[in-house]
Amino acid sequence: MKGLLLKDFYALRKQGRVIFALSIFYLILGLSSGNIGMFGTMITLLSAMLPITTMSYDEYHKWDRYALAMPVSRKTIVLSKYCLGIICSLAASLLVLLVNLLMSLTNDLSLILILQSNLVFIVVANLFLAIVLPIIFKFGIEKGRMIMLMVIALPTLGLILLGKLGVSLPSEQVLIRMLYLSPIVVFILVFLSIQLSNKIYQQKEF
Amino acid sequence: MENLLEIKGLTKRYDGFTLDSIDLAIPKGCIMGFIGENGAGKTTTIKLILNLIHRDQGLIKVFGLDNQKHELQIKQDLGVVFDESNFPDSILVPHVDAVMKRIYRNWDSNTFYNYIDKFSLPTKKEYKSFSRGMKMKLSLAVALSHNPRLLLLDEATSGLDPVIRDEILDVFLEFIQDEEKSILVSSHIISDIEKIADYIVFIHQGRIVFAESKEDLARNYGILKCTIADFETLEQQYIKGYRKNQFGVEALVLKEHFKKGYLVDPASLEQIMLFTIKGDNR
Repeated sequence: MKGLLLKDFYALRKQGRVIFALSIFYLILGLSSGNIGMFGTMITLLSAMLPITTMSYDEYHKWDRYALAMPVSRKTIVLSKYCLGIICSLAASLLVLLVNLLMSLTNDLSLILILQSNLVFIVVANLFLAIVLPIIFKFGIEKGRMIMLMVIALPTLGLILLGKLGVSLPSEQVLIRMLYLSPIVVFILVFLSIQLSNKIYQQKEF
Repeated sequence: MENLLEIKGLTKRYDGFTLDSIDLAIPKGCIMGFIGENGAGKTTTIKLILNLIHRDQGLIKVFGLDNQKHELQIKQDLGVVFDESNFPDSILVPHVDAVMKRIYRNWDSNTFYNYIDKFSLPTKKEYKSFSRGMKMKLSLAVALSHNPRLLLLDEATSGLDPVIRDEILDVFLEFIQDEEKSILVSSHIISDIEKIADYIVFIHQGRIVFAESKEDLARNYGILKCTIADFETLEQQYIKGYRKNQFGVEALVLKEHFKKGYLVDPASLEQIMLFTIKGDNR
């Protein structure tokens, strides 16, 4: 497991540098303009994409076949992708948190708001993983990508449609309560997603 | 336990191709050459040994253990090289060491770096800048650095230049020196196999045509040349394949039955293979 994660981190060295550069860029931008919303969204998106990036490398280089020739079980390979995703999302949110805290020195951002937005990022990133990973394990990266886009597009369209139909958003209090409950929901979803991916991966031939 | 690998009745059915009840045994201290055209079933067999694909029938034992029940335990002692390179582009040699250290119980960094030196692989260059030969050498270094007992090499020497191929063949010979370890090397490049293998297994359309030691092959098979008229009088059961041309017939024969009065040349491995599959069979 550690070996697999390490290999993914080495494979992502370039992306790491890009994210670091981006953080600096947005930090400077944010410090001068006071707008930090973009940064969190960007980094969350990027971090959620990282496990998928490694999976496209894996597919291209037929890594799975090679890894399975080593003393590595199919379950470990599946689990390692989830772990990578969770680690990346936590690291990214930590980065966002750090930047936001730095910002709050010059702006009057409330700590509670910063923490709440951070929680949103973690939840969204892991929800994304829970949905997308089984799809990619099943269909491969090429087809998976198309399905992935639909998975992201459909809820967005749905929300817009609801807005157009005049369905009003729940009150802020309800939203915040939902936010606090969401980690438990996402945790369960990730757990179920792992079971599903295991089932899919067990059947695969390389 | 004498055999490092034992395969019995191994069957895998695909659309349009069946690996048909393969039997194979690799004793200690030998190099087994696994030959056959592209698509004959070499890679399928190796994938089945590694559980990368699911078998339909049969039994596979590695080190005397069932390859499905004791999968991870077996793989600790296996070294595997595939025909393609498998590492991500941006990885460096020290990274490979760090990764494998965490995967193999018996990983030995010293051995690994010895091979890196021996193969003169750069430690500060990204993997993507490696030539095909260098990538193959790195895979081989990985396969050799956790004290494996059996190497499985799938077309590992194909597409390499003769100098590198020679270097690698030397490493193989060194590997089996202590008579405890073995190598299964598949290739469609017969000259490689002829040079190093002790045993030759020939697979054709999913079936094993023969599995014999190199000495036996040389002793048993010969190429007989005669006229078409003479050819018709021969005992057909000892003819494994033949080719007619305007000057006469060349036939692959079992030598011992044609001792006197016939012109029988030694048969090369390539001839044996070609006559068996391409010639008109009897």
